[in-house]
Amino acid sequence: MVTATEDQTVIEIPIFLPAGENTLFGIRTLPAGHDERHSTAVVVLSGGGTPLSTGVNGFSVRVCRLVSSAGFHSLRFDYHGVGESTGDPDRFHLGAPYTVDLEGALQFLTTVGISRSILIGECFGARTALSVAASTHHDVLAVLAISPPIRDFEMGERVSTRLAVEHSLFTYVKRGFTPRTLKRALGSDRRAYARVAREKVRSVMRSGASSPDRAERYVVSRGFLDALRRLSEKGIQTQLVYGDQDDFIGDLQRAGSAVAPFLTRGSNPNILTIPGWVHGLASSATQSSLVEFTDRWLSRRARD
Amino acid sequence: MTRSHSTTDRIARSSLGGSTIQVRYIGVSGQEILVCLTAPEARAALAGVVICSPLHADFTKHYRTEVELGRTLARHGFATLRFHYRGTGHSKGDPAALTMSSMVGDARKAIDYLTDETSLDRIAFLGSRLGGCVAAAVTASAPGSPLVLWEPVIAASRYLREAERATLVVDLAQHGNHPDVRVGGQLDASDSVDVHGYPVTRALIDSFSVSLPDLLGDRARPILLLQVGKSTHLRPEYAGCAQGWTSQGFDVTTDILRGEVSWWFRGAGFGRDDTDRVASEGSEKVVTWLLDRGRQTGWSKAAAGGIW
Repeated sequence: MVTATEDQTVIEIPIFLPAGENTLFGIRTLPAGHDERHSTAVVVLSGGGTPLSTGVNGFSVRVCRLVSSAGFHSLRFDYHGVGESTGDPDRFHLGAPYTVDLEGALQFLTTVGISRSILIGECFGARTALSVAASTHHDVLAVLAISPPIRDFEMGERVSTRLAVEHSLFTYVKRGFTPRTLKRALGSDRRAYARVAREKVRSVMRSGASSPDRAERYVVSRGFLDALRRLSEKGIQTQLVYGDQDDFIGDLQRAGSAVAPFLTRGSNPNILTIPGWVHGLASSATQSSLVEFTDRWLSRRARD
Repeated sequence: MTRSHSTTDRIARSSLGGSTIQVRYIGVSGQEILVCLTAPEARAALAGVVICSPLHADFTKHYRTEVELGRTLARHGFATLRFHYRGTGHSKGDPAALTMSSMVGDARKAIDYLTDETSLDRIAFLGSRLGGCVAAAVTASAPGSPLVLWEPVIAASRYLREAERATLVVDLAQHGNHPDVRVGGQLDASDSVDVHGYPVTRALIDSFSVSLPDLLGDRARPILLLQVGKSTHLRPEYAGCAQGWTSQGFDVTTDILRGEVSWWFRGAGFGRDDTDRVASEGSEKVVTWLLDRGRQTGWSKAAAGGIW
């Protein structure tokens, strides 16, 4: 193991760094006795659902402290329009990852003498990492992409566009009208059921609305596939991780031959599924297992 | 807008649109808390505001609101101190040790830092959601200090009910499950329950056993109570608090920020959310109210130790 614990042998320094027309807030985590000249940085990017640099329940904080206690520099930052960073909040659309923000972070690392990085991103952060790693001039050694969406949709549209792909509204309503569901919907939890029903109808209706990028929301993203191909050509070690209960698994299956080469053991990039629901880091047990996975994955990188 | 930034002595500084921000860690090794001090750029601050933030998913949901509030307050002459409780956000410390007592202790450190950095003795307090209880607890020992309560949690039992509803909605919508054991029941059986990826511990809930009005006590002060929601009427629990405080001689103002903010839910994934609009409207109301209270007192130190 690189290390299995976060301890107090790290130093944390708040920073502001330029990225395009914005100023981003971040936290550098440094190992005690750090030397930038011989260091590799780990940059941790949060998902769009919890875009703060802390991540869900401090996931990004834990990863940064863990990797830094093992000798890496690490950096986590707030996207533009989020947290302490300047800028107006943008929509989080997977077709437009925040590459300027990440390039700014990598440029900052270069200015402090760190020329090599490993990128770790979750969901929207994973897509941003994949996109930049494939194109940046900064030396990216490896990418760990946690549950990167395969289609390009906007934050909040994941379920609605998936439903639109998988089911018609009639099919969905029919599934909901079972005696058991109706009994519960009329009982003490009727408000919760009403809310869910309202949102389902609204989201499915919205998914049919005309939109300039309508088609792209339902098919495998060209940007996603192009990034994987470029990373393969450049020989950058890339690991994608999904939970076997993530609804992206259905997208992977529908993608078929487009992603099949990445599902083979030993392929690079490589797609791995682990038990559970990974997307959104919606349980502390998942977060802990992913922190451990990250630790093991980085150990292998350090040996290589 | 002019922008500049620097990091010296492990303090990050930036300026934007008439305000400056200074971010650093304070405290003993291993227990440091992150503090963010926003102040007017071109003049000395007239008064200070300490902001006690929410917890769990609410912390993320409300974060930008508090950042924007700090910038707005700075443009009107206030210095604002935000901080992350130990065990949360970017601060150090053990998350499992998070209790009302530890949060109040961190708030007191934040107050000391604000007064040391600015030499201000006029301090107001603002608490959002569960942070409302923390703000009430620290304000109780500051006679006459104005208190702003932004959609405060009056009692821990309500917080648990909201958590329960949130887990039920997500379980139904995303997994098609109807959990048989409620959040409260799960907490009775174990030390912690997971709500959307955030552990809510029994120790934390038990530490909030005293209601907000009891934490605040009976020393009169100005209070602004902001309700966030779709209703045009003040919720009974808030109306009851306002009535009780008024009868005790408090100067109480209530207002409603009309809009839907999905507390406990992360991101834009669930329904329409008016966080940005509510944030903007709420910030203006807070600034207007604080300036009005300042004008009423003539920005002078009140007699007998009051600091507003």
